Amino acid sequence: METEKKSSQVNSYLSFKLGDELFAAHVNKVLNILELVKITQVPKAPDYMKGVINLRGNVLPVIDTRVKFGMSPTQFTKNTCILVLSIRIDGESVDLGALVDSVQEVLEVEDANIQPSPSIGSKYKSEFIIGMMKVKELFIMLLDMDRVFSSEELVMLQAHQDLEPES
Amino acid sequence: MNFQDLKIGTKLSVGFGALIAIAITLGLLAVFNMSKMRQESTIIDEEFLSELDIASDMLLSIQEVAQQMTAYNISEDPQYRRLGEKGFSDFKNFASQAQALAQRAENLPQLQASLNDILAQAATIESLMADAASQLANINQNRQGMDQSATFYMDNAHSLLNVQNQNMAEELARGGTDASRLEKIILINNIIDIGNEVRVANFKAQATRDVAALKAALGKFEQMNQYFAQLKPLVISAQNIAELEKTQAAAVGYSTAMVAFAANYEALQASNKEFNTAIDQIKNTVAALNQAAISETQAISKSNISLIDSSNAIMLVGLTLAAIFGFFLAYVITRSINQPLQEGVVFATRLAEGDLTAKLDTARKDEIGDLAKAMTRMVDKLRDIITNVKQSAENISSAGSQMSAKSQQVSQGANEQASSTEEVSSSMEQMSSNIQQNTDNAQQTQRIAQKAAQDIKTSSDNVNRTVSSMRTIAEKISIINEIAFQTNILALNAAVEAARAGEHGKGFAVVAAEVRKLAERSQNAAAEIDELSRNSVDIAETSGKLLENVVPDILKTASLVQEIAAASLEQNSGAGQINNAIQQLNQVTQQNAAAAEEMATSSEELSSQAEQLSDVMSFFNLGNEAVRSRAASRKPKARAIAHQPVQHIVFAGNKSKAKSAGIDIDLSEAHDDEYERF
Repeated sequence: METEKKSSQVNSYLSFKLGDELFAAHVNKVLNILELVKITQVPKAPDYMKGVINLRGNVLPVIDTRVKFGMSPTQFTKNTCILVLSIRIDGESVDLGALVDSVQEVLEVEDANIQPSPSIGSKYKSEFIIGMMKVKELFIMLLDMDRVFSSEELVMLQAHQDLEPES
Repeated sequence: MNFQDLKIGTKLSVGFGALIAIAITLGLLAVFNMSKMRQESTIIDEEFLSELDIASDMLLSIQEVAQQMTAYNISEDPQYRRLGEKGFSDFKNFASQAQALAQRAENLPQLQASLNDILAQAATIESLMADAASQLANINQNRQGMDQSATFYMDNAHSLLNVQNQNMAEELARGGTDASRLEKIILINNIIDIGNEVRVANFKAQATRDVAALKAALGKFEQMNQYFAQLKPLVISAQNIAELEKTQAAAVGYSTAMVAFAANYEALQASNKEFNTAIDQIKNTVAALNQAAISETQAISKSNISLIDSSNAIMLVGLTLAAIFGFFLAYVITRSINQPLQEGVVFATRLAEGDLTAKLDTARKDEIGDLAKAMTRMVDKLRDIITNVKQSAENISSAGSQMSAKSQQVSQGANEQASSTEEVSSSMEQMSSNIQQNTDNAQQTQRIAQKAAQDIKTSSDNVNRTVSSMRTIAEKISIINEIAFQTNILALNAAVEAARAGEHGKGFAVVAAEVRKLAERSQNAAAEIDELSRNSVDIAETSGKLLENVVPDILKTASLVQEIAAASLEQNSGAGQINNAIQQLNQVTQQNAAAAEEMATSSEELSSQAEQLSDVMSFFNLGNEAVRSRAASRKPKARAIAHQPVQHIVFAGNKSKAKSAGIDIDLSEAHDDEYERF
């Protein structure tokens, strides 16, 4: 609940790129930014599931965000980063890594500057998008990270994560 | 065959042969006589003188024997006997030497006979010497016998006398005696006296070695016997009668011993006489041998002297004959050589004066005659030669003047040739200097090209180094880039953290944002530098490749230029050779010109020499008529020679070439034509 309060107070967003498009996520959802490290592939995982990495001794599943957004699979460059996100799924906090093409910056945007996303003409599911931010003549799509990764596909991840501590 | 016609060698051989024959004959005679004399002298030395020597020794030794034996006989000392025997052994030794000589010697026929005689006498002497001792012993025994008898005689006689004297003294003391007593005493005294007389005579005879005196002494025994006979009837007493008989017996013993002594003594004397006779005979024989040897030696010496005298006479006569014969032969031979030689000298003197018409007698058949014939032939030959020489001299004179003219033409042509050659030579020199300049330029270009190639190579290497440096820079930049990226991420993380902190993180967010911006700028700058260095590397690599491509081209250029330089050098040397050849040609031409001029003067000289030769030849007197006709017959030939002057000159030229090696002159007509064309 504190985080809810805080998020209402904090208006900072982390912008990143997928392909040529700019996206942003609320900093409260972002735990950490990692350089690309070796990703261990998990057999029989869905195609957007890139694999797992070792984060300070914990297993962290990594999601290919581009695949999630219906784009071509991520080409690894030196700008490719892993965002460590803490998302809520069904009221539970889950950590996961999201591959992005590059991380841009931390922006402070007033709520007033966030416009609702156009419902028509967007190639992405509008349910993921909170709104559009206009910063320096550029539009940034503000993503609701909980929703992006809350689809049923991720349940197994959750299960997986639940299993982890036991094992 | 006259003696004059004999060869000189034969003459000399005959002369010297005769002299040598005489000398050899005389020499052989001398040698023969000498050897004969030597033979005789050898006989003297080996036989007669040896005989003389041995005979003297024998004589001395036999005299020694005689002396020692005589001494022995007189003194009866055996030492002398030993000496005598020693002398006799010496004598036998010498006799055996004489025996050896007699067997060896050929010219001593009487020696063996004499020696036999001597040896016989020696045997006698030896036996006598052996008997001498026993004889002397007998004599001594006789003497002792005589002494004993005498003593006995005297003792008995004196005792008888003493008895009578005693009786008489008794009778006188009694006062009366008778005459018979006195008569007995007188008789006894007589007996004693006569005994003494006999002994004295005996000793005297022994001392004087007189046997006759001894025998005379024996005669006194009759007187003694008378005294005994007178006394016997007077003696009455038995003792006296015994004494008287003993005395008479002693007298008989004495006389017996005396007779034996006398006999022995006579025998000894006979032996001595025989011994002496033998000694004397040996002495005589040896003396005869000595005398014979001396007389033989004298005879041989005399014959040697006469031989030397006759040899001397023969030698004197032979030498005189040889001298006379030698003088005669020397005179004859000298005369037979000298006279014709003088004729030859006169002939040669006339020749020396140039008179070739002289004649020499050639009838002789010896070497001088041969010499005369040879000299005559020589004069004939000389006459021919001098005639030819005279004509040849005239021909040479005319040919020489023609040659002089031709030589001057040749000289002119050679001078022209020399000036043309000079021009060619100067052109060649200029060309040669141009080629030299080309060569120098080409060589310089080659050096420059090589330097350029070297420099480009260095540049290429530098570019390569630059490229590698650039790559290093790019690597370093990528590190910076990475650092910037990491910084960026760190800054973002910080910003995220700051943002999540809300109001509290505001300041930190600002710092993080600044850091992120710096990182971004660093990243951008690094990216730019990276880009730039990448471009630079590309450019540098291209430049390097281009430069590397240029190097072989430049090297090729350098080698081409080098070939050009080499070709130029060859050309240069070729030009130099041409130039040298032309210089030599020039030199030769100038020499030709000089030689031709010399030829001209030489030809004139030749003409004048030919005239001089003619003058010199006129010295000889050839007997004019014959020579004139001969000269006339030769004239046409001389003219024919004059019609072919060229050949003559060629001949002369060749001859001069052969003489003066070094100047190469060829004056054949073909060359003259070349001069015309040139």
